[in-house]
Amino acid sequence: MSLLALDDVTIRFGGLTAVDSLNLEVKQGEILALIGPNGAGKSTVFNLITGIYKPTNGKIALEGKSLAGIQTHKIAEMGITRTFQTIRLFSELSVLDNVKIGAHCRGKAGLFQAFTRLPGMKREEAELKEKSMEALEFLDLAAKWEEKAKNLSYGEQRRLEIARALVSRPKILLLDEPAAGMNPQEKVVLVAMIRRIRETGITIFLVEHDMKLIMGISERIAVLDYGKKIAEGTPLEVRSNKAVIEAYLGSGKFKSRIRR
Amino acid sequence: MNIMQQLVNGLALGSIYALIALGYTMVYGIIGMINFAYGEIYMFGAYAGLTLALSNYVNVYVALFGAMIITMVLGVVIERIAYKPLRRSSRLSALISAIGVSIFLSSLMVRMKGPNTRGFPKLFENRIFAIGDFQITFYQIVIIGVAALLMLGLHLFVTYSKTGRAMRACAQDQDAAKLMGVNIDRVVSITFAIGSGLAGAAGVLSGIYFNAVQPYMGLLAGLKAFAAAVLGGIGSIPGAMIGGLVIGLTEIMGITFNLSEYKDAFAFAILILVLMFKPSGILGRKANKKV
Repeated sequence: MSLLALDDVTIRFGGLTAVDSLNLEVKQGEILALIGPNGAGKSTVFNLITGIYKPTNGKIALEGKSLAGIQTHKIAEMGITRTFQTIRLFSELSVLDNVKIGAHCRGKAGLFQAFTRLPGMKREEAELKEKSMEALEFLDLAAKWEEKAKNLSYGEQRRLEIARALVSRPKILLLDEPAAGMNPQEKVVLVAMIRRIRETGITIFLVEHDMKLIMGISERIAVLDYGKKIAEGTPLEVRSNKAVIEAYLGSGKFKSRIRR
Repeated sequence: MNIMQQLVNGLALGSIYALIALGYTMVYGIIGMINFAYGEIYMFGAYAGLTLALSNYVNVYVALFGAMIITMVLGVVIERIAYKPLRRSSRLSALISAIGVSIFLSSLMVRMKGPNTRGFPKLFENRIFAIGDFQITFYQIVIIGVAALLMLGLHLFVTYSKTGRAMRACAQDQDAAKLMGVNIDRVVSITFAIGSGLAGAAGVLSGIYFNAVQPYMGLLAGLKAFAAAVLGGIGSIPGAMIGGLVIGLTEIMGITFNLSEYKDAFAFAILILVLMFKPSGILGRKANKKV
């Protein structure tokens, strides 16, 4: 059974159909990439999965359980976390606190517990710190745990976003252009890291523009153009697909494109 | 009248403003709205404390604690009814709703308890401690002490608790926090509860201090606390504390220099000066933060 299934998902913004009858399955344990020209609707797909947008039509299900009507923070709790195309860390918070927020949905200490069950809260915090440090170590950031997030280098901030998304042990990790703005060395590190994350049993679904990276890392690729899936398959299949080449390079005919 | 003496008086008054200002600043920090009803929540706290104190069953600390619980519930209910449905609309709508709530609350209190000023029963003996020229009343010690304890508690809560961390995250990027599994509605409710509880405590303390409680007491106190929050840098918790103390001290200093007719004007003069010369306040973040 597929881990995450998008069934005939459509979303319209006014007259623009950003995602058009998309059928897509993410299988347990795979690395799946979603590619497509700028404005093809890739990030919109992520926003649909995480509940930021509600689909106009169609269903999204995690392990057979429909995500319709479930609030965004609950979806994170159910096991879907993400990183962002442009970095969205809590820049004034420490690196450790950023990661701890990622695990917010695990554990229960609220206002009431904070005042009534101080020992329980302390224990929970200690466990949380341990888990968070593990995530930081995994992404090679443990030494910087006390820094404010805004003081990290760009590559480190990107990794911190991943750590924050990983700490709650999601079933599926959505990476929205993880390599954007990275230099070649940083990209090599990133690829190794994504592989290591997958080895821990977390399914990876990523949107990316860097073709070299995509072809090297993903096991399956889905291609989106104008919100429609135009191809799906192994990197080799996709690379030689005529529709894909046309979408990226054009068919030779002039087309006016309205992009969002 | 020496300067130390005035400092203590100012500190006591400033503590009360600071407690209300914390509510303004916390709510602004998280959802970017000014809850102008905090002044009225403060007034409600004073009446709740008064009612509890008059019941003869409780001592001052129970009255204080009870008033805080009542105002916390009140704050959460107000948020649910008057602000939550407007979360996605313009800031102006929420602001107008807040003004409506504050008019409603003071009118409700006039209806319930009458428009007259009421005295506070003596909850404990007010002794005067004198060290040479310098005098401090027991009331002042209680007010400054309780306010300091509450602020310390708030600081610890925001810095070290899980919910406090979620509050700080929400203040920076609500959508990202939501995607990380933070329940924004819950965080907002808790923020309103805490802010209202602090305002309620301030109400009881001022009732004890000035021995006067009336339905419109919240208006001026609320506005001065707002000035304090802006002075400290709206959105900043330590800023609200500092702002409250500065406004309280300025007001008392004004009285010292025989300007007591203008005592209410000082807070607003400061507000205007801050808005003109340093709109981000003493500890405020620069406005260009959110893109």
